[in-house]
Amino acid sequence: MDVARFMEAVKELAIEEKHNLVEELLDILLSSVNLEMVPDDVGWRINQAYRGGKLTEEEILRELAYAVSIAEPAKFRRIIEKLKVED
Amino acid sequence: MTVFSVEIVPKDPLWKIDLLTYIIGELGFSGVWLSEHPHNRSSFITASSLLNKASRVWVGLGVINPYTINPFVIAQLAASLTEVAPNRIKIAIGAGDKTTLESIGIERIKPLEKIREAVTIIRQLLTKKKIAIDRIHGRLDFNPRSSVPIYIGAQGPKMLQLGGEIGDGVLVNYSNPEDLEWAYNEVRKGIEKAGRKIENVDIAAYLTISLDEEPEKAVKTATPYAAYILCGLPEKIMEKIGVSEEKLIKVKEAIQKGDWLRLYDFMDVDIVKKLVIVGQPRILEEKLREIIDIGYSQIVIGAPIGPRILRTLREIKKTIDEAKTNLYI
Repeated sequence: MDVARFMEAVKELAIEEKHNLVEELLDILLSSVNLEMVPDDVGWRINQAYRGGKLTEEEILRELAYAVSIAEPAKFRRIIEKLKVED
Repeated sequence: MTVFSVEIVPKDPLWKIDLLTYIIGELGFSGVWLSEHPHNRSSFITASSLLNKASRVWVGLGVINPYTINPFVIAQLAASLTEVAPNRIKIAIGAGDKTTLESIGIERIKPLEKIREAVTIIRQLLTKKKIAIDRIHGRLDFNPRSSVPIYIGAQGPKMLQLGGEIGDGVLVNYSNPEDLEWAYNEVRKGIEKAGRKIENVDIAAYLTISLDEEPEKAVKTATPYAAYILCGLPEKIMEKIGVSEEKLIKVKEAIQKGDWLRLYDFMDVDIVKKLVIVGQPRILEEKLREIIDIGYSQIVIGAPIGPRILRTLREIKKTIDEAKTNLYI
């Protein structure tokens, strides 16, 4: 649910804002001590997308948001609040 | 010319370690050191995967200890990795963390002799020589595809000297410039004893770093790392830090039980600051300048790096690049 709300909010962002958001999400993910909770296949898709410069693409951004939401739920919620997403 | 590398602890999934290695190469660091710890992923297996994909950086394995992995097998594994990525493998041999070894049922006996013997065995096998030392004999039945520099991981004075005497490089596990200067001079004693030239030994400051704009977060992240360092310190440094025997026992017990919350009760901020470069990112430049002035040829940006790893790595690289512009590197 949170991921769906997040994806809705991201649609409104300008390209540079989206880029900054992706960088922040990636930093939270790579700094997490809970990565055993993230499915390996999701992790590898994020890995490949970074290498290919495709992290801002919708499907990958959804996976990145999903990974952050399960590894760092409190931080993910704070990001959603910052985006001022309404229920 | 100072070389900069980054330590990665293989406690996280391979997809993250692989991505971090890619980013480290992208940022322009020369290599990564994969630490070895029995509770984490195998550094050899991890290295094999990384080297298959990463083409920019070399991978160092260290510190491997010859108590948990037989030296003959260390040579076999290192030689196998040269086939994956020739000229991009380094290994570091050390006595290992006594507390950790005891926790898996291994007694650390005669570390100096053990390391000297292990390096002799590994070096001979990697140069295709037949081994015949006491009960150990034989050779590798395949050719390593390149040479593999052997570093010695050291903290105590005798091990530092041994590193200078027999190592292609030495990984010096301190972060405080004062301790690093003392350690550098110990390595130099070994180099002089062996009649070697200092420029032929890569002396690396293996720093433990935790940086963040919010210093208290940096300290929290650094504390478990500081605790491990504390448990392996030589007497001379321990006295200087001023940790009581009683406190040390409590820290060791907390590590052995994996009781990280209790660890925070015993590890004062002052102790952490003596063992780790910890605080806001801006403190790093001055520290780097001091360490390079001592003479270190490699600086390892060691874990944990900071509570926000990506942002901190980018800031560290910027600091290094600015320092280069200031012409002191």
